Amino acid sequence: MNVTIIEQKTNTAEKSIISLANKNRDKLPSITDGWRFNFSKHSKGKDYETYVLTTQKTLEIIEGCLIINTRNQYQVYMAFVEVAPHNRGDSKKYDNVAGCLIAFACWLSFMNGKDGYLAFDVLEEKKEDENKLMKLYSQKYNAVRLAESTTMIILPEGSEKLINEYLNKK
Amino acid sequence: MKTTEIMPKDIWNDNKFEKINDFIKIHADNQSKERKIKNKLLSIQYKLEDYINKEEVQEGEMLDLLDFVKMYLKVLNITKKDLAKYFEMKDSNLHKYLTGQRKLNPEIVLKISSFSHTKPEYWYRVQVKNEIAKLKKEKMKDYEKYDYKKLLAI
Repeated sequence: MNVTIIEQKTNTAEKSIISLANKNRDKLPSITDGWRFNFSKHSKGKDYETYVLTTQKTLEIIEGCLIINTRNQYQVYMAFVEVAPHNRGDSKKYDNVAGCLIAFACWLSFMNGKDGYLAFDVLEEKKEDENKLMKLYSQKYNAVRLAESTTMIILPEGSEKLINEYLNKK
Repeated sequence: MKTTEIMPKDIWNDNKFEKINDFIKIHADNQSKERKIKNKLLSIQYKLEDYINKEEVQEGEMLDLLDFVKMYLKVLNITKKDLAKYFEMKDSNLHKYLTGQRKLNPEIVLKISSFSHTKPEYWYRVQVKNEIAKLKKEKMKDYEKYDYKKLLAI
């Protein structure tokens, strides 16, 4: 799928692609590359699909990565989502990478007949960081927290909004 | 800074999934009828957009206008005959447009677009995409001679 991310320094749109990774062929990010999750390892899990976001001009550089399970009966489960180390913090290269990947997962939920329901968990070592991240997911990505658990869910209306905001600007 | 990787076993288990599913079932049941329909219609709209944005349609993946319209009819629980009546036309005429036996015209396109809440051009694009895919498959070789390089002999 074609998407647009923003180069932070120049505030210009960068044409990008989200594509299904070939688990056996593509080199996926891992902890040794400075990422937090070992996508290379987790992508091999049964029932999981791995997607990578790259710009059209540098297809070899992964800007963000997503692992989801579309086989659940009622929802798509977003197991892992992460932006590349160079897209983190104040000096990040590209903005909107996480938004595009999460909106893409929402889109897959509609495409797979799950009505836009997207579930995921927010886990951090420190409770304080976890709460901060949950707040961000709630405010920026329309997620609601499931009781007092670590699970968050994006509901159909929220999914539709994210798709309009991040995927319909090609 | 040292970071600890979160492992799948830390996150999901059957009990958790049951809780998520219960929450979603209750939420889904409590949505308005309009919202329930909208969710299904969005799913079809995204499939339609995905189809027309595909670089190439593979053999066996081709979808007619009728295939997409049938998805809408199923969600809205009406028949093609009902739709033809609603469009003030004969069922046989509508069938010809939807199966490609008759070319779309702006009037029928606007009716389908209004009915499905989709952009009119989407329906033309499905028609054109399918026509070109069929022609390419059958006679691609016949058209290679029209390459400008052959005309200029370069």
